[in-house]
Amino acid sequence: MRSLRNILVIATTAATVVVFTVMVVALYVSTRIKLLNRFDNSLLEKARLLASTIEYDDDGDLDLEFKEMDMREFEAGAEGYLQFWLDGDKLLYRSPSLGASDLNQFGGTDEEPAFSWVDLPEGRRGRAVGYTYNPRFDIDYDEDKYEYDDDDDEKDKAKKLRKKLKKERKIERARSRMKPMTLMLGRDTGPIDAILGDLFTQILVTGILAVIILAGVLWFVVRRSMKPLDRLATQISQVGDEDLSKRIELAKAPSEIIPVRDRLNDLLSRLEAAFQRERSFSADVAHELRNPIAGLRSTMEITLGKEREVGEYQEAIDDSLEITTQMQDMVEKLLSLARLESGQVEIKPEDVALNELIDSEWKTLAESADTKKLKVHWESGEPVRVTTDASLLRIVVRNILENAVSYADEGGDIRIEVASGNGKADISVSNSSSKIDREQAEHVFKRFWRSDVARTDAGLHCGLGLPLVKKVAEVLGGTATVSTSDNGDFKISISVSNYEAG
Amino acid sequence: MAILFIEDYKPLLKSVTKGLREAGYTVDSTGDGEEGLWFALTGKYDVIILDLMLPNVDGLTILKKLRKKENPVHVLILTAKDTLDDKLKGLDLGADDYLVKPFAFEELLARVRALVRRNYEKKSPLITVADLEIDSNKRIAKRAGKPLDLTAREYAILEFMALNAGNVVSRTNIWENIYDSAAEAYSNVVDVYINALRRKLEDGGLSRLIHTRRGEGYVLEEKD
Repeated sequence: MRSLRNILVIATTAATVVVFTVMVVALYVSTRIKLLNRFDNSLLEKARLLASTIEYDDDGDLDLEFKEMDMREFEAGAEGYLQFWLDGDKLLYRSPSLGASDLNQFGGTDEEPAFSWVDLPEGRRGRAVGYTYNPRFDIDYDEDKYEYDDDDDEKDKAKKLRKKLKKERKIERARSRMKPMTLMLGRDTGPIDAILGDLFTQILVTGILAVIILAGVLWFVVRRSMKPLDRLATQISQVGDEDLSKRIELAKAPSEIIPVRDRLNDLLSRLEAAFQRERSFSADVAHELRNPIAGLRSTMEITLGKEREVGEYQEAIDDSLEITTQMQDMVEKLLSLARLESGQVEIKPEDVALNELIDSEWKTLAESADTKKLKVHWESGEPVRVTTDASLLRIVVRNILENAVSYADEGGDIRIEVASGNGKADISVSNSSSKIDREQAEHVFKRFWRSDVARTDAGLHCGLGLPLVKKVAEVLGGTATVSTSDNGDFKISISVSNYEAG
Repeated sequence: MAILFIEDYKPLLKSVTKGLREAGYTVDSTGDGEEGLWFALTGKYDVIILDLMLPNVDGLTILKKLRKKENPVHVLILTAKDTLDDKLKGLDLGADDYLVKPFAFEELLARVRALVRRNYEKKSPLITVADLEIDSNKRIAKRAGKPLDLTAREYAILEFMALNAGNVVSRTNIWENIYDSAAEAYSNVVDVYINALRRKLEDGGLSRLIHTRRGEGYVLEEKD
């Protein structure tokens, strides 16, 4: 199982190990380079010092003065190795540490001494510096000695000149005997490797300890900071299907969890509201079906209770039929609503002439409007067209017209208006209604809500017509609104845009 | 026995009113809460059958107002609301019974009968005065073991008088019990029914049970 906690601990620890390793390697390498540099410098320094002690004298003989210096480091078994050659390969001196072996020459000049790794006797390894140079020529030549004084006579002068020439010839001779000297100075690097090894071991041990401690601390800290997630899970698990009113509290939650908690609580609120709606809707449906069923049952039971005249049976059947029709109407509206809500309705857009739609729907209502002596203000006029689903729009038109006829005051007015423009069509139907006030008007789109007026002839209206209108209008991408005017007009306005798929 | 039926669903109002009348009750019915409250406060009823969701004034308000005025009338709530909460609310406000729609009409009748009996503090459906036996469930009366052939109105008057046996009941009392408020009063209708009842009760030379109290009314009792 992927665990955030493990991922965090492992990733952080691994990253630390990598960073640490890189650091250690860099440190090791740079320290080693620095140490070797110093090593080389001290080698060169020593070499120069030794080299400077070798001189040619007036006779052109080499004077190996270094032999009188402290040469302990070159003794047998010591770490220093020294070898001099004259004129290339004529061995001049070999330190006792070298025994019978030689250091390899690898070039280098006085200006640019060469450094190299070398294999040393007894299987040792070390660094060496080497270069070829001309040893100093230590002559005892004092010019002044041969300068003429004012009081010198010719003889003295000639003597001085002869002496000077003799000296110069001697020097010349000695100079011609001078040969270049090659020096190799090596030293075992064992001590450096030992220091580096120690350093490396120490760093490694410290590092491993640090990583282990870090991983432990990380694990603890991550575990601690993940606690709110556990609490969140516990709290979520306590939210049951039965009771959605519970909210996730999670006091002292870290800022990363707060949005999660808040979104979850939002979700719970929406779920609760939806469940509540669903529950009360089911209760409403049950309630609304009980009345007509009670009506049907008692009508039938009472009629069957004793022998009756034919006319009474007919009346009872008429009554039952009427109840059945109302129930059918209600069930159909409920099914329409349910279908619209679950998105099972396919919208087939076509060009609809609104005027014709209103004319055809009005035909079925004209008679009841006449009975109520309603004055209808409706002029078909210029055709108003809209691209939408004709059968759904028909539901809207039928219901708002029915609503107007049902609730208009006796002898009142009904005003139907249509308009179009900006890619949409508006329909508004208003009726004079002294019994519905502004406050009540706000409820007309609620399911099963009926005004007291509607309740008075209970059964005729199930309180689903206008909610259906609103739902259909929304599905068609439009709106349905109601308004009341001060002179007691109740108005429903529908606005439907040209339908665009998607 | 007079019943007030307040119910806003018209088909139910119509059929149940008819059924109750056929069962011999005097029924006033209305589909409006406000009118119903007025009936309840002004009329004299044995039982009020009350719907809860009513236009203008709802059922619980009617009940509250009745109980506030200490009106002891028995109230049966007849409603589509079936939750325990609704039932408790109704009963706590002083309803005597609660019946959920849809219902069997026979059950409604039985509950109404039970409430009527409670009016006369009787638990048994059987009423006995001397050798007169009335079974208010079966709505039959027997004198000396012999069944009487009574019309619904005659039975209603006899039951009413038997429940008040030994006490004087006025013509108005009887009138209120057998006619709903819409009927016009005929001064001698009650006397006509009483005469018819006496004839049937005394058939075969049995002793008189319904006696006239001049200026007061009638009393049903056995006189030595």
